[in-house]
Amino acid sequence: MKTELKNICKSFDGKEVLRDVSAVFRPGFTCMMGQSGIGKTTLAKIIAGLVAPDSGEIIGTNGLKFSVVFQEDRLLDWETALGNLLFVSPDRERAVALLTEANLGENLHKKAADLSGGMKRRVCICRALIADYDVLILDEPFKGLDAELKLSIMQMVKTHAAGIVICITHDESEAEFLGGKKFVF
Amino acid sequence: MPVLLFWLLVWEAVAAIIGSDLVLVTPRVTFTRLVELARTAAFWQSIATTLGRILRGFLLALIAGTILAALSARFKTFFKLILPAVNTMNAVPIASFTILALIAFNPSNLAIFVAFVTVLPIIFYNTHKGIESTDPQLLEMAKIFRVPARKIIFKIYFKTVAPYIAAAATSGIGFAWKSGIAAELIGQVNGTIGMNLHAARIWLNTADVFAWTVAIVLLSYAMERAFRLILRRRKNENRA
Repeated sequence: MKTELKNICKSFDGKEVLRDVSAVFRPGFTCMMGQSGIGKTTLAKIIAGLVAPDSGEIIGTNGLKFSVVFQEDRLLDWETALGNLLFVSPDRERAVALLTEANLGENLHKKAADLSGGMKRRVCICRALIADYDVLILDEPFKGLDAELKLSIMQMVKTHAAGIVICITHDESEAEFLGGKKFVF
Repeated sequence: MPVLLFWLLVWEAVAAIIGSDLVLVTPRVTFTRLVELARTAAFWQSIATTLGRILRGFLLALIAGTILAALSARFKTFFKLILPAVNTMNAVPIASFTILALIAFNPSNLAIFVAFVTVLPIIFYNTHKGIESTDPQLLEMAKIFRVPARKIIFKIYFKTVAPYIAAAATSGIGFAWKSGIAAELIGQVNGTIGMNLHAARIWLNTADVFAWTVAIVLLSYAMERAFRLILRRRKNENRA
């Protein structure tokens, strides 16, 4: 299983965001690195099929299932932490286990709106991990987490993530920890 | 309560200044007449008839307005087609609808029809606005995770749209009463509140006009409260 991008170009309102970007993603971690605003998120959205490229080819994504930790939390504020996971998967037992592992065991039934920024981020990560997927896209998944917690959550992601995992980050230490390939813009 | 007392005193003072029971009766006369009317079976029969019809018209508009708004949000061509019809419905005077309905329908369906056409645009505009204001990022998230449509409707759309429908429905209740009774009055439909108001006008019985008006205001208020109570109960059930 591999996903390949060939000569991808994308502009928004006449402003070129991606020019002739080519890459191959295979099972395991690939960290996409580069400065903010360079088009990493746009490329991830193109891979996930959320944005269409202006030109270029995307090979091997047909029929693949995606899971994403978006840059924004995109949680259902009116649902509990557990409810947000059950929105994407019926596996309650695994949802509880993942949230507990993410140190949210005492906040399972707290509304997402009432969770702190760091807690919300962890719920997002758990939601992406519990979903059924072939390709996992993590768009700056660890932002807002304090150093100690970040380490344990990165370890959690490393343990549970499977298939093709694309992690967008501009933090060298995160890429080092997760290992795998690096794709630098 | 103090606010109500203040306005009753204002009403009493204005009635005293005017000094004519034909133009403005006092609150005491109004409520005495209301109690007298409430002792008759005809009063309650008229209320039951009008209430049943207005409620039916309102509920039909609530259902139809919501369905039309959902279809409009889903299919842009449908929206383009339906919008002029709803706009026209919103602009046509109640009197025109009443006369048209009198020609086309049985008078017993008049209040149902007029309440329906008055409330439908209110429900339609608000529900459509609510659906359109649904966070596109949440919909994109649900799409990525391949969440079934039924779940998206209940967990995302319904949560976003519910406050819009609730606001439209509570103001719609008031409009349903106003338009329904106006239609009964114009159509002179027997055994209804509108007909009682018509009779009071013919006999220049101002006390009756005021007594019936107070009854209408109380009924509209009670219906609005009941609707809010149902919504609150539904909200609490969803939370549990």
